[in-house]
Amino acid sequence: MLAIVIRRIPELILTFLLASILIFLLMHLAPGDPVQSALGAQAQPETVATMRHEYGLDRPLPIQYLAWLGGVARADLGRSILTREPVTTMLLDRAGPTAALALSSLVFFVVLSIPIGVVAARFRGRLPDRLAMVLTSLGLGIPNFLFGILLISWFSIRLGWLPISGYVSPLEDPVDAIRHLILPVITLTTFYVALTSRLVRASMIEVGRADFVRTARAKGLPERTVQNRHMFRVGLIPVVTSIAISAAYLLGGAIIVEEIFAIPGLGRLLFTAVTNRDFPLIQGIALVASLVFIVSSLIADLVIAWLDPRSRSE
Amino acid sequence: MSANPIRIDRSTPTAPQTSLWSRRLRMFLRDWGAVLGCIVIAVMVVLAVLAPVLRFADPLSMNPLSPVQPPSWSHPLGTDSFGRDILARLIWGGRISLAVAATTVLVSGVIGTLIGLVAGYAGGAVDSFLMRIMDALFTFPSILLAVALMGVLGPSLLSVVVALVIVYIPSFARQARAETRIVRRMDYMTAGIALGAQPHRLLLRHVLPNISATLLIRGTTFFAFTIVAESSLSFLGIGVQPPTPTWGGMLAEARPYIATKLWYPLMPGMAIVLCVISINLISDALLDLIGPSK
Repeated sequence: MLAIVIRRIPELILTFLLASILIFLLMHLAPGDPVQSALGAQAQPETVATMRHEYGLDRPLPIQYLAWLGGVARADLGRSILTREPVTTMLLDRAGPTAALALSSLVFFVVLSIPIGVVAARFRGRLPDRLAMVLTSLGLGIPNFLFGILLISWFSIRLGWLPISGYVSPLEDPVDAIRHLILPVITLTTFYVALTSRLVRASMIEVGRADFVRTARAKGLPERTVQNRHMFRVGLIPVVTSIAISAAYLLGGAIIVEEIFAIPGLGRLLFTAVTNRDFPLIQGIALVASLVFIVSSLIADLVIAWLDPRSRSE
Repeated sequence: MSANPIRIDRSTPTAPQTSLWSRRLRMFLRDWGAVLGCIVIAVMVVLAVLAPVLRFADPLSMNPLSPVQPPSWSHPLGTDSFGRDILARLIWGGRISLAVAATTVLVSGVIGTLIGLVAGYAGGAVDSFLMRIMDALFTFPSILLAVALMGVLGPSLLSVVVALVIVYIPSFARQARAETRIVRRMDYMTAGIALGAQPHRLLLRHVLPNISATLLIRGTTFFAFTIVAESSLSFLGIGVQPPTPTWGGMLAEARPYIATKLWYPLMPGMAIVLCVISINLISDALLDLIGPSK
């Protein structure tokens, strides 16, 4: 296991560095001056110049990048143009709600989509499978912002079962926190539940055709043993990477879900940053998302190594 | 008048003379979901293209006296909060959604395919260099990257297309590279190289035709993703700006009415869902046609 971590780490660091260069370039090569647009068209040229100097924007791009990267290494992501607060502090303040939302979404969608996929594959072509396919195609077709609104209109407004919006920390009031998270989690995960359960289904059907499964059946093992001990483990291998990507991409969906349910997390912070063209903040959040992706792909590699001994010796 | 006693059966008793493509077409037409999807998309495209000619209602003309009126004869899908005709706005919004999706998929498909072709064919350092950049770009969640890019590009139709093109290039590049590497190992490629064919000839005449089917299906899938992504940006208010009608923007305007007039947000909502599910049905059917299993 440790060997895998050691082998993968240089590669992941390289990817992360490239990602940081890309996000930096995309932010800085775009037309328009972020300081000018943050201060408004009426700002005095001197004010703009002072602020450009303060944010190092008058220096050559490579120097700016290295300065920023040096800061990143010390967990210093610069200062927000709008609030002048350190970006790191702003991110940490907002990380809690997003972490609560993303982690509960991850648990929810993994726990839900694997059984759906396995059951659909097992009853391929029959009622449970058909039902799963229809529901998943609806899940893939309905955008999260529409689904969120419909959930609110039904469960919060019409039935009054759940709060319309807002966030309560699980540390303060766990029960109320869960009540506030139910609809956002469903909204955020519907697409990924649909996607992953279809992948699980396809993968289990594929594994069902493998020689070792036929052998297992031929030697008279009960179907339950074949399914649980032989097919399940192998069938999950191709799904793990996709789950890891989905887990990281939940942060993207969080922008919309946090906006709909008024959750004060990183997604809303990014949204405010974008409407104000606050580039150090945008950069910081994008970098965090990239880091989450890289960490979750490392975890996926470890899970695959655990499921599939062949991958350990590669 | 005597009938010829000998009849010669000229039809061949062997396999029917149908090409692979006509067989595939028949298989596709047997999939009622895909056919339905095609009809819906065709209607949407025709309405979008003919919108300026049809002129049955102005999507921008406001009428403060009749805000949020339910469907009636004069306004078949009702009016919005500014008294504008919802049907007209849906048609004009569809123009934006479909045009953005088509442009995005085409441009990112072409750029991504070129990158993937070169990386997959050249291998070695070129491959690692190009694909590392694609991997790095891929670490950003797509909608997050699109939103971040909108922050620097500023809200406009062109920005939406540019942002989404950047977001979808890596997916096309990865697919094209994977397919190119499979084709590269084929005997006809070895033969081509042995005969001294130039790389660009090999890529365009031998590799591209063999990977284009998969890439086209990828394209239809991404068409649906782009429709959702564009609507998401408009819904957040950072995409194409009002008063230009967009499906996402209309939904955002209709949001305050979810408690009282649910039909109103449902109009743009259903347009998006109908469009996305139709495209998904089409791409599922296409995938079945060339898929390895089945």
